[in-house]
Amino acid sequence: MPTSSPSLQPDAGLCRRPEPSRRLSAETERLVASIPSLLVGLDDSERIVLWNAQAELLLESPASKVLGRRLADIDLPWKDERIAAGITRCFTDGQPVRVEDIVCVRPGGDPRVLGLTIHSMAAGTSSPLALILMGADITERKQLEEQLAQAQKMEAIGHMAAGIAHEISTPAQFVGDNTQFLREAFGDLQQVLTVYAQLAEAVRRDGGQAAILKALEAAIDDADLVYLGDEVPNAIEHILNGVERISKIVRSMKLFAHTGGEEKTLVDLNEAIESTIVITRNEWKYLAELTTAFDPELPPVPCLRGEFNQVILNLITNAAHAIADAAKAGRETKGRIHIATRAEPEWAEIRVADTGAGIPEAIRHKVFDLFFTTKEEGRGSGQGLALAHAVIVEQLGGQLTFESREGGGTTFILRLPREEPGGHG
Amino acid sequence: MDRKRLLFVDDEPMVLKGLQRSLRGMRREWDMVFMGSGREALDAMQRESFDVVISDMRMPEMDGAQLLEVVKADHPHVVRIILSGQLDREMTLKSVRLAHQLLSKPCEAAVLRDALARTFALNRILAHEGLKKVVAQIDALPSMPAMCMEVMEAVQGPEASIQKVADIIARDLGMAAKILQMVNSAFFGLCRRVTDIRDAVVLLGLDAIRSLVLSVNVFSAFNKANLSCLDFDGLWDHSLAAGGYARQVMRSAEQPPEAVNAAFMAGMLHDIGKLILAVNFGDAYRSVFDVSPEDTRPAWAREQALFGASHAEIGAYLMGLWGLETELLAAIAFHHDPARSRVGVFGPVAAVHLADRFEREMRPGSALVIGDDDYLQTIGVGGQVEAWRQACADLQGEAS
Repeated sequence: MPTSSPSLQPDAGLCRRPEPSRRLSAETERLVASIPSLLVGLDDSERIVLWNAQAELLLESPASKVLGRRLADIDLPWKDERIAAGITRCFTDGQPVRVEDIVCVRPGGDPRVLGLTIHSMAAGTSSPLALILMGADITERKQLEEQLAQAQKMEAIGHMAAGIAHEISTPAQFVGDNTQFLREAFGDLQQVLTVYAQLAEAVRRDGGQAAILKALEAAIDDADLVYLGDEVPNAIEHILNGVERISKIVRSMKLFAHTGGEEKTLVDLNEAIESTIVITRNEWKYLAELTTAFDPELPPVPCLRGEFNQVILNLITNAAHAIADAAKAGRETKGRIHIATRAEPEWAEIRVADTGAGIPEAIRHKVFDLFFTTKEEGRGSGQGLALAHAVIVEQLGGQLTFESREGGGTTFILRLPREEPGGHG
Repeated sequence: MDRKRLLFVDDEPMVLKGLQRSLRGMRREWDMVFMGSGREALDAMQRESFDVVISDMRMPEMDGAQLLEVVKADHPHVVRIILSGQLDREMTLKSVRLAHQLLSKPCEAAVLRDALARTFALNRILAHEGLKKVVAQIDALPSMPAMCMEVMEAVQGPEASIQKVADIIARDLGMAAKILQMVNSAFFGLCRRVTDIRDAVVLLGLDAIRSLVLSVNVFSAFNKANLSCLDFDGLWDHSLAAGGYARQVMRSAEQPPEAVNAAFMAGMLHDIGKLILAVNFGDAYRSVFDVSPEDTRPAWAREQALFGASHAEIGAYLMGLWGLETELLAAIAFHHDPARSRVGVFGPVAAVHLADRFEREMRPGSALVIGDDDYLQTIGVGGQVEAWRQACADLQGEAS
């Protein structure tokens, strides 16, 4: 239990500055000044007793102007209620509090991103320090992370675009060919019809039918009317089939690309998975049969749609690669990818199973590590499963595990909470 | 006219049905067979003979590259075309030695029909079956050893520059021809045909050229010692000069830039058939140059007597298989005898004919070369030949 809390401090407004005896020693001050992190010390009434050079720089206020004042009373470039809440919490339970991604908008410079830790100091010493805020400028790290994520996205998009182009090119080819056929067939039919019209006219006037009949037979023969009678309906059928295939791909792309922003929304996981299967078809169709068993009872689940789609894409791609590796090792038949969803009381569960080579025992503990990959350059950068883990576990509060048997395939199991996990923040 | 026999291979039945229907208009001239896998296609080829195979690239079990590899070895006379929806760089490089032409899906029926018709029309240039078989097997032409070295060095190292690479390739017959084949294949989906070699190199990009040079090995040096039948340095000098003169003549005649470029490339490649003869028929080819003093026929007439066709037709046939522009082919095929081209107006055909002639005349100690002056009169440029000769002589004066 902390021995002090702001409410227990009498006479808060009396001393504007700490007394000499309660100031930090010169040695400590020099030490503090040399630390490259931001350091702000508060006494038990939240007055500032420590404000190092880095704090002056990042928060754009000289120590002389802030020492002795209450932190809450100063206009600082960070506007983040998580800091005040963190201080209160730290005073209450004495546990360190971590506040990430605090944005400092400084009029005199670029915005910086800080990571802050609030520590409670041991009570009962002569030092006035009750609480210390330690901050690091993580702007560069943040930028690098973003660039990395962006780079992976670009790589994935480029790869996907090539695959989708191929998927569309096949139906586009036969839709075009069949339409060309219909155009020519219609031209031939018109010839026939023109002669029919002449024949009708001749019959009406009762003359010259025999010659026209002969011309008609020639036109019918030329047009190969029997063939057209069989093939025109087939061609129309194929055109509609091709257009439907293209539309399905386009619909799936829209669903896939529709990220839903940074807020969680209720997502129909079955539909999201189906769309990802369609746009990744080029990845697996030569390697594997892909089957699904979707639980129709699966309710919409709070989810980040864009991130979730990316995770499913990564898992399908991995499954295809695992099967390709197994095939290289000498198996002849096609592999199988099976994706199942199931509604459990607490969770929405998704299983992505492949009949690939399985994950060797020795590297199982590393599969979710960033940049860990067994794939050759150009095929994987070791970010797919790390990203999946970050999204499912950290962002969505779910679980991501796998079962694997060497030579017997791997199943990744995702569990997402059906309800927004409450009680935090 | 005998019917052409075409074999289409694709694992998607609807694509095959679509092709069958859209090419139905050709049913009186073409016999078309449609197969759903490489295995079936090879079986069909065992049973009956075909003129051309049009295959998809990505297919299960046996892909297009594997299929065409077998076709190339077992049925060398068959023209090999890829029709694929996935022609990325890797795929293009993989197929560059296997397929004569690459077409990209979706490919309009008219484009496909046109490409096939142009391929069949090549029979009018070269009809000799034995020669056709030999030429269809050629996947690359050898390069000047020094230039091979140069390009090898130019693509490596941190200061590799596309301009420098383009300059080297533009001076070598074998490399220039191969690059034109690649850039005009469907990989780039270009609507216009590229005839400028520098444009072509830039369009392909340094990475692709690097792979061509280093991993696909399409640029290989010939061994001068083994090919003593031909004066390669002389051929290179003559070809480059002729290209320059053809361009000069076209410019003097105020022709449009694309036609000027086509004439330049045709001028440069007009004797590429000599390279083909030297590489494939070295010993027999040597006898073309061992002539008794009484034999006053030009070398190409002796080639014709010996092989059944001259280097002009043989070169044009290969360039045609590789999908180069028809105009360029005519200029190569008929550079000795432009009247046979039946092209009735001034253009690359006449320009290359003149360029070839001017280059011979301007060599020290050469006599005036006989050309087809009647043809030039017929197309109405007889009066300008002297001025063009002078323009080319000026060009040579500047260069030396």
